[in-house]
Amino acid sequence: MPGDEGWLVRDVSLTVAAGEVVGVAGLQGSGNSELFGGIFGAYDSAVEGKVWLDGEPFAVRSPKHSIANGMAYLTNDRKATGLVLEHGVAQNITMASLRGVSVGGWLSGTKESEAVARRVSEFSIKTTSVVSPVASLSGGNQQKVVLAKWAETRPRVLLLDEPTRGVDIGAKHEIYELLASWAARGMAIMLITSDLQELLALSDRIIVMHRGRISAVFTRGEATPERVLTAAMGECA
Amino acid sequence: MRALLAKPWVRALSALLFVFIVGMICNADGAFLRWGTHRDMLRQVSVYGILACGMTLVIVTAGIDLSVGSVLGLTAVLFSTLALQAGWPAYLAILACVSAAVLCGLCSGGLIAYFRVQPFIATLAMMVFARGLAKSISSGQKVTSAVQDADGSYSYAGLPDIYGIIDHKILADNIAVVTLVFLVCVAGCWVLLERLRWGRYLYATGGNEEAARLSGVPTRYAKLLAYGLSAGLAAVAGICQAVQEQQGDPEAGGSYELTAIAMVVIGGTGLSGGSGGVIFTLLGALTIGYVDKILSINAVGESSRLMLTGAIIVIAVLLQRSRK
Repeated sequence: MPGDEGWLVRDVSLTVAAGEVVGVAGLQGSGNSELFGGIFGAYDSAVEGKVWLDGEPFAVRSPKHSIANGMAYLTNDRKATGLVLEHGVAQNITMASLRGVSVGGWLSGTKESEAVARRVSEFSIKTTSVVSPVASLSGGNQQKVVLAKWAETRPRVLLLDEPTRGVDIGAKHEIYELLASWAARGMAIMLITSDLQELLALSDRIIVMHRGRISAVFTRGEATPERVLTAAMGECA
Repeated sequence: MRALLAKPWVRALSALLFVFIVGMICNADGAFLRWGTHRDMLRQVSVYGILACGMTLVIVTAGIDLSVGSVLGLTAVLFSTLALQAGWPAYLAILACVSAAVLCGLCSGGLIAYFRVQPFIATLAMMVFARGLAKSISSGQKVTSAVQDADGSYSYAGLPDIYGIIDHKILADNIAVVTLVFLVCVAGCWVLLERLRWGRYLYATGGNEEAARLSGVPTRYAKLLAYGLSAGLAAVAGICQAVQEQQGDPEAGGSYELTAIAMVVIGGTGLSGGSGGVIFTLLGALTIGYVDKILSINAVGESSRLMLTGAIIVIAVLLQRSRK
């Protein structure tokens, strides 16, 4: 993946099984966020590398193409790249799945309001109305709107970059439960979080990146905060 | 009351209502009370209003289209050349004009979507280019049905039927056909923005382009659609103008883009994109139309009218800002 100073991510190879949560640790600039973006097609096809989905080679083309093939990408900055803040809760929830709530080119009001009502109750999103601007919601509820948006695309592979950033404790625990239930239902989840305790608690395996390369891989049993941090600093564990 | 006033459509409607009440008071010895005054206002506002519909689509995507006035001039010339001089049947002439205009729109839209040129710059370039093309097609002259006879004098050939159809008033002379064309354009844009999936794409693109792109919204095609339709509607306006004037003036539509933008902004569609709608633009168009009409029936000179219109735009924008 070319960046301004050569490569942002190099020689990274990893697999995620259905129902597995793989944590991708790394400090700022380690390239883990860029890795997610690259796999998802956020840089369109300006990346080199190979992706296999269900054993089939998958051509990275665009976010649209990846979504159509069951991928979802929660970015680490919901205000800048996750939500349209002045748009309503409903409009944000269906933004990535408008084909699913339309017939031909026409939006179906009933399909849309059904889908939105289902997600609002499933994620217990607290809002005065589904047309209230997302900007008026708390951080935790905003993040749940982003998760609801991706759930609505019915993904098989979830790339989650800091899903609990700027989220209150209560909502954090709801998100943890959600991830566990998604994994139990067979979704493959890749997770970035700067909260080390959270990473250790949620991940079945942890891949540590340093300066664009993998510096260590730990199973759940092997991983300790010290070992992950040492590897993230680039020292051999 | 405050919450009610914060609603964009209430503000747009109250501005129109305010202007209307002023008209009732300054009714110029009852001139404002006659339907004919309103009919003429509606007719005069229609060409601008059609441009404003397309402008709304572009502004919703957080863009701007400065080329609509020039594209109007280009299509007015092209239509007159084809229909009056080349003798093309009306439907073919209309088709050719709309296609040529859409091509212009796709050019500026393509520059914006694929080459990341600022909308202001790309459409400014198209504004200059289309004006030049209009002048080159018409050799800088007004295109009319005049033919020079052998003795050097001019006579006017008959106008094709389409001129009679568009430049006509229906329902017992109570409404002009161009006004109906304007209302059809409003309805079409409303359906696109409120009822079609692609309308949602336009709003999402304007609201937060990066979030929309990462959510799989085809933001580039959405921009192409907006600029293409804006230019296509400019062609409709250009044909209406050519028919009303019974000629193709290469200078037609000069500074019309600014009136169209003013109509959109006064209606309450924010230039930052992602909000507003075409019904607001309809209200904005009527507001500007009534202001102009009230001033003209009260015999206020054009210079004062322009200054007052400028002041009204500022007031409308300031009101919009105080809402946030």
